[in-house]
Amino acid sequence: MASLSKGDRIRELSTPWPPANKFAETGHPKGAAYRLVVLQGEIAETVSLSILVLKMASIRLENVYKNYGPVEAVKDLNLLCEDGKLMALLGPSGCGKSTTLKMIAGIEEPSQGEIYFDEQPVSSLAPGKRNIAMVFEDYALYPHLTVAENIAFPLKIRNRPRSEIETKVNDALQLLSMTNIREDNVRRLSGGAQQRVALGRAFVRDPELILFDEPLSHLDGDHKVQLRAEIKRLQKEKGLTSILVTHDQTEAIAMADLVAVMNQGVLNQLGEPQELYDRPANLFVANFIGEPPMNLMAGELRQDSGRLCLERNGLCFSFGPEFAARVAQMNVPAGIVIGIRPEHVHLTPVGGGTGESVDLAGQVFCREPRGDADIVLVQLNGAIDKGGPDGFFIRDLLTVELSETFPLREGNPVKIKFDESELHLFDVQTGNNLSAKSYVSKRKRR
Amino acid sequence: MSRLELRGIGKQFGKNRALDQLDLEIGPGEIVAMTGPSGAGKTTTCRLVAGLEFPSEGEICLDGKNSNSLPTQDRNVAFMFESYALYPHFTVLDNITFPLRAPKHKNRYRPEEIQRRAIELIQGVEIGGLENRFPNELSGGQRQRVALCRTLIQEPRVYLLDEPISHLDAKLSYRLRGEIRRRLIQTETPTLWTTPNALEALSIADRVVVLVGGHVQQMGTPQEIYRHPANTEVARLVGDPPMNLLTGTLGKENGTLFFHHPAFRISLGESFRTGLEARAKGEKITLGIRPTEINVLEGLGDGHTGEVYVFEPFGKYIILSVRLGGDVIKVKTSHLRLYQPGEKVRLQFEQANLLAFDPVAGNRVL
Repeated sequence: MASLSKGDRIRELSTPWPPANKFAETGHPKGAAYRLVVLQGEIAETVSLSILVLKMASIRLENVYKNYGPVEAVKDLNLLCEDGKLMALLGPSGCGKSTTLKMIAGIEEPSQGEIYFDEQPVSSLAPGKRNIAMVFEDYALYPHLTVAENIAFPLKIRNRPRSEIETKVNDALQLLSMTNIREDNVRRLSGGAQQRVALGRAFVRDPELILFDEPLSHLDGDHKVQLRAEIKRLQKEKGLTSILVTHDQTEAIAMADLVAVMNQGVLNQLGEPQELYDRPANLFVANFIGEPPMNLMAGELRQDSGRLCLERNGLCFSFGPEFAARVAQMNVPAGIVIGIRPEHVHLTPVGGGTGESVDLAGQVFCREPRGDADIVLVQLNGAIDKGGPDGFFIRDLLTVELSETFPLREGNPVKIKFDESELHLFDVQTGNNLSAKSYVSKRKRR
Repeated sequence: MSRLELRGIGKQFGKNRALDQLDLEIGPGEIVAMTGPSGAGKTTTCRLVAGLEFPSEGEICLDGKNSNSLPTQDRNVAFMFESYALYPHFTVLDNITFPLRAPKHKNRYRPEEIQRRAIELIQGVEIGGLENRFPNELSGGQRQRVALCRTLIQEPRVYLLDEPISHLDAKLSYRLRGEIRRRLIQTETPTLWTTPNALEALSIADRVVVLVGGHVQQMGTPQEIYRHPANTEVARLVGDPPMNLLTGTLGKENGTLFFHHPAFRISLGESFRTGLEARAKGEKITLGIRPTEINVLEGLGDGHTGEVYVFEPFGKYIILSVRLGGDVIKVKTSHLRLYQPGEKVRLQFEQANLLAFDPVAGNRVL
């Protein structure tokens, strides 16, 4: 059998064989094999060619705007979700994530800009022509049908042959471990089971794209955790390009390959989950990603008898030479916000040990056991009880995560130490993370 | 300073046993959280204490006095309903101040005092600026906070908070629960707080009651519930993610006790020998292994080889679901690395905190 070389001309192309779903059994998520007759110079040769990614579905948004009257719901949005990836659109309510999903689905049309599937513009394509499956928050099942009938529905209305429907529905039921409830009426199922049926119905059609609109928000704790893992597993196994809309950061970072954090219609950061956690681009992302959220303290940087300090409400925290050197290399304005995650703050009971770099003390305000780790809120000594919802750092309480069991009670005095290599610096004016570029992740990654 | 005591409370609704043999005492300034899945009997307990239902048997004592037949209005309990029950024609401020303006408190509170308390609470729960809105102009989370303020403004003998923060998003409920807890402790009033979320129960309460199907499964401090769950029902509810429960058989070779799972076997240490020796060889047993107490090993060597089923990164830790035999085992580790589904990993179980349960009855045997 010959192989292809540059300059060959294709004379004939067979229909793809094996079909895409059989091809998957050979270990490739998508694709097909072709037999081609090519002309190599003057000689006709038959060539077998495997095309791994045949049914591609990458999604790209280019300078997309959506206005509702004077309200700009989405502003200049640029996104790329590659084939087979799951991208989460994350943000608080009103951030534009659902509007974006509706534009991808074709329910809404962008006011400006273009959406591409596989680099083909689709803005003018009707929803029905887009080969998209959707999974909704409230399941949207047909209440009078059984589990199997609900899953078979999209195939039935497309007049697929009975044998194909049978096979695909059986596969879906098995994949979701629902074979034993196939004849049950969906009304009698729990929320979690209903959402699994909705998933089966979405997957069974072999769509190019699945859109998940808050799929887990009606489920309670245990079911949510289980289904979260299940969806991720299925999505990866089938290699389906997916978009997930959620306001829950845990859900987004656990499930997605790529997370787009949105606020007030604007994309704030697009990155891998770990990247968002380690290097938040600005204050909004820093506060949104992570539970409990990052401690953020506004203040002014200054030199005090040779040491770098942050002055805030009459309090002064001084930093070690390493951090001072890092700051010296950056172009830092005087007004900044310091950020530190709760797991990078260390407490020592007063009387034992010495705080090496930060002369900061306080007392335990409250302690919340969470099983494997305790959350301790520390009131800083000399802090002014400002109250009010400044949102970030209420009442000068520092959130600390303690993984060891520490004999600390409410009211106990403690010394506070920051892991200074984990400190973030934000510009108080723009909110941008000034340390993001110079920050070197020490974490092992592959 | 008041006290709530429930002695042998049972409640029957027709054929349905909603609550069985509940004994509970809540002291002044103490917060007891009641947790369990829906249908556990949490709301029924609140309604019994409030006098909206009457117990089929047992005794409800307020400040040491039997109050079974005391009408609701004379019990002086502040009950926050899960459904909020706000007055739709009152503004936020009027809803919150209503309990203090009620006829029975006539002349007890000065108008300025009522106003001051309301404003302080409104700011504490971060709904400042909404004072003059009506309930139908608020989101679910905002309504819930209005209901919370209306409850906390009172000075009752008992606070009954039925899922008080269930509709707040994670960030907000995290910020508020410390505040609420401090406030409740200062009032020196007993509080019964219900929640389906076991982690919320652990973090806000002095003591936790785990209720399933009307039966108390366990009552204890958050530490006790987490470290020593009484049975598999409790173990399944507590933890993020909850404990792994693996069933296998006991075996003994050359004086060493082994746990045989279809996919692996582990030798059990000294503490198990004494605790489980009485059990016959070949008897089934369920081991409880916490996701944080499993090590993921790299390269070749010891441990039990499984296949990554799902990988979930959370920033400071990751959760791996690993397929081992017919079980999927959850592992929570701060060793941050990307794992691919299907990748082979080796797991090693830490011996020190293993728990053992009876596979049929579910009770903890060790």
